[in-house]
Amino acid sequence: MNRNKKNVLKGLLFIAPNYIGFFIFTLVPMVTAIVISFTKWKMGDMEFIGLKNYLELLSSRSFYKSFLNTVLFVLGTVPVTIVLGLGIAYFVDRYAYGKSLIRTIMFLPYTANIVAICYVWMMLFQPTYGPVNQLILKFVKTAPGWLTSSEWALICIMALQVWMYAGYCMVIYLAALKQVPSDLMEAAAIDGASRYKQFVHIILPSLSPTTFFILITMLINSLKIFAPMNIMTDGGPGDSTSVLVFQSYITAFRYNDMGTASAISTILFLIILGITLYQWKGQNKWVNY
Amino acid sequence: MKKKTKQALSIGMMAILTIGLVSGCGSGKKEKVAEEKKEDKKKIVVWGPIPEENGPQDVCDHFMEEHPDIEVEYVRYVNDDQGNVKLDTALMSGEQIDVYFTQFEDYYVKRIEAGMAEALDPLLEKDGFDIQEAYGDGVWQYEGKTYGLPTNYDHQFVWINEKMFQEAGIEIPTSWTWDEYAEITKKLTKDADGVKIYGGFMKWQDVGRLMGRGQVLGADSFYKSDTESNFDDPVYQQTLELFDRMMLQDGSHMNFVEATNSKLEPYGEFLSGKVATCISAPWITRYINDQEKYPHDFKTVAAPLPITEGSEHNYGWPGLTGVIMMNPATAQKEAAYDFIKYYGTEGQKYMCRAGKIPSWTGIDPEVALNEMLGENAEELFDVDSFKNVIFDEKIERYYNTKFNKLPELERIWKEEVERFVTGEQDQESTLANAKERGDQELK
Repeated sequence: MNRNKKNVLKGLLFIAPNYIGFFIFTLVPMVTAIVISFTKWKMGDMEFIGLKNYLELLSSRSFYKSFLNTVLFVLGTVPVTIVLGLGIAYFVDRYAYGKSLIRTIMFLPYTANIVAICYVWMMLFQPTYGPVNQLILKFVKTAPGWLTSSEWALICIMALQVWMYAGYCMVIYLAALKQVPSDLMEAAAIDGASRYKQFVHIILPSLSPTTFFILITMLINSLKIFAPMNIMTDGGPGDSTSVLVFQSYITAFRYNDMGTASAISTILFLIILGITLYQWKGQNKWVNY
Repeated sequence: MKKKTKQALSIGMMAILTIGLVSGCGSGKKEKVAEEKKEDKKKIVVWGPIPEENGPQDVCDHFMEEHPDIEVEYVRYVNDDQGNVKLDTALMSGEQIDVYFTQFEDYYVKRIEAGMAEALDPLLEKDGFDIQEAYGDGVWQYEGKTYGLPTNYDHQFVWINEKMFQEAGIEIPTSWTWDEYAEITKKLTKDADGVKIYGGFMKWQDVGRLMGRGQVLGADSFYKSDTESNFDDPVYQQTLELFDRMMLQDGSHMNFVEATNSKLEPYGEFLSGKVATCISAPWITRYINDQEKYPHDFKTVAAPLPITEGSEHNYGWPGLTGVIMMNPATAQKEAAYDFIKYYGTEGQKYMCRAGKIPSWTGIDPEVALNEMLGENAEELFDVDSFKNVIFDEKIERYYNTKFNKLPELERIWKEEVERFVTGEQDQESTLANAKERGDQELK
C-alpha cells in the first residue's frame, strides 16, 4: 500500500463514525420515506400506488392550509430573527456595557428545552389568568386570545421562534462583527462617511458569509417547525397553526396513513433542498468571502 | 529428555484438567437448563394505560398467585397520542408485548388492520367462554370477530358540588334535558372574589365525541352511508346550539379552546371549586378520594347525563372499554389468553378502587360501588345518587362498525367546532364546512 492510499484510508476512518451515524439514522430513513410515499401503507400490507398520494395532496384542503401556514411562518420569522439578531449584536458590540452578561441572557432561550419553553409560553399567554393579558387588560378593555384565537395563534408561535433564535443569531453576529476590518472602518471615518454609510457599505458586506449561514439554518429551522404546534395548539384553533411537519405527523400517527405522511415530508424535503440549492447558487451575487 | 518428559506430563495434566473443567461446566449447564425447564416460568409482558399502583399490579399479583407458572410484567404507557405511538412502534418492532390494552375504538381498529391484534374467537370457543353472558350487549367487534375483552364499563355523567347547589337553592336533578342543564349551569355561574366560577365543565375529547357521536345517534354517528358524512343530522346543530348558549352567550362554560389549551382536567377544576358541575366518567373517584392532593369541603353528588329532548335513545359513551388484546406475535398464547380472561372477568374486582366500573356481570354492583367510593364514602359522596347513576340500566350500549377515515372525520369536526366557538364562523357555515369536508374524505 503506498502512502497516498494509506492517507485516504486514514481520512475515511476519521469521517467514518459521523458517516455511519448519518447513513443509519438519516440517509436510510430518508430513502425509506421516499419509497413509502409511493405506497399505500397502514402499517400492515404495503401496496404500490405510484403518484396517487401526491395527487391526492394537491386537492387536499388541509395540505394547502398547512403549506400556507408554513410559508407564512417562514416569512414571519426568518427576516425578523435575522434583523433583530444583527441589530442587537451591533448595539451590544458598539454601545453596551456588560457585553458578556447581555450575550448570555440573550443566548439562554436557545439552550432551554423547547417543551419547557412551550409550557411557560402557554402560561404567559393564557387568555384569562395569564400575566400578559392581565397587563393588557389594565390599560385596554379587551385583549386577544393569543393561542386560543385563530388570528393570533400563529403569530404567537412566531414570536416564540424569534425569541428563541434571535439570541443565537446575535451571538454569531457578535463574533462576525469582530472580524470586520478595522482599517476599512478607520479609512471610512476619516473620509467622513456617516455611521449609516459605514454600516451599509462596510459592515453589511463583511458580514455576508455569516448572514448566508444564518439565513440557510433559520430557513430550515422554520420550515421544519413542529414542537410548539404539537405541544401548545394541536394545530388549532381550527387549522390555523397546522404546518407541514405537523400535518405529516397527524397523518402518520393519527390517521395511520404512512404513505401520505411520507409524501408530505418528501415534498417538504424537496422544498428545503430547492431553496438551499438556489441560495447556494445565488450566493455568488451577494456573499463576499 | 527428562525435561521434555516433564513438559509433556505437565501438558497432559493440564489437558486432562481442562477437559475435566470444561466437561464439568457442561454437565452443570445441562443440569441448570433442566432445572429451569422444570419450573420454566412463562413470562408475559402487558402494556396498559393505568398506572400500576392504581390496580393493575394487584390484578397481576393475584393472577400470579393463581398461576404460579406464569410471570407477568406490567408496563405502563400514557394513553395519549405519543403514548399510543410508543405502543404501536413497540408492537411493530417486535418488542416482547404479549398483551396490551386499547382504550379508544379508533386505535382498536387501527391495530387490527395493521395486524397487531389476534382474533380471540377460536380461544374463546375452545374455552367455552360466552361473551354475551359475560358482558351483555356492546362488546366491540370488528368484521364479526372479537379481538379483545372489555375490562371496564365507562359512561359519562354529571358530577355535582352539593354545596354550590345548596347555596344557589337549586334542587339536584335526577333527570334533565340539555336545555335544563344549560339553564341550571347559568344560574350557578358566578364571580367569587374576582375568580369566575363556571356552572359546567366538560372536556372536548369526551363530550365532543359523546354528543356528536353517541348519545342520540349511537353507532356510526359520523356516517350517513359508507360514502357520505352525517354532519347535516339535526343532532350536530343541537350540539352547536348548546355550545353557543353556554360558551358564547351565558358564559356558563369555559370556551373549549381555552380549556384545551390550558390543559384543564374536569376533576382538577371540580375539586378546586372552580366549577359547580363537571361531566366525566367514574375514574375520577380516585382523585376525589385523594384528600391530600385534592382537599375539598363539599359532598359530591351524581346526576345522570342530560338528555336531548325528543330523542328516543340515550346511549352511553364509551361503553365497554379498556379492551385487553393479544399480540399475534406472542410466544405464550395460552398464558396470554389466561391473563386476558382473568383481567376480563374476576380480576376486575381489584380495579374498582381505581374508579373502573366492572364490565363483567359476575361482579356484584354493590361490592363494586363500595370499592369505588372508598372508605370515606359517606363523607365524600352521596352514595345513593351514585348507585342510581352508575348502574342505570336504561343507558343503552353500542359499538361502531364503520371506521373508514374516522380519525379524519373527528379532526374535521374538532376543527370546525373550534372555528365556531372562537367566533370565526357561524353555525350554518360550520355545519356546511364539516359536511363538505366530511363528504370529500369519504368520497
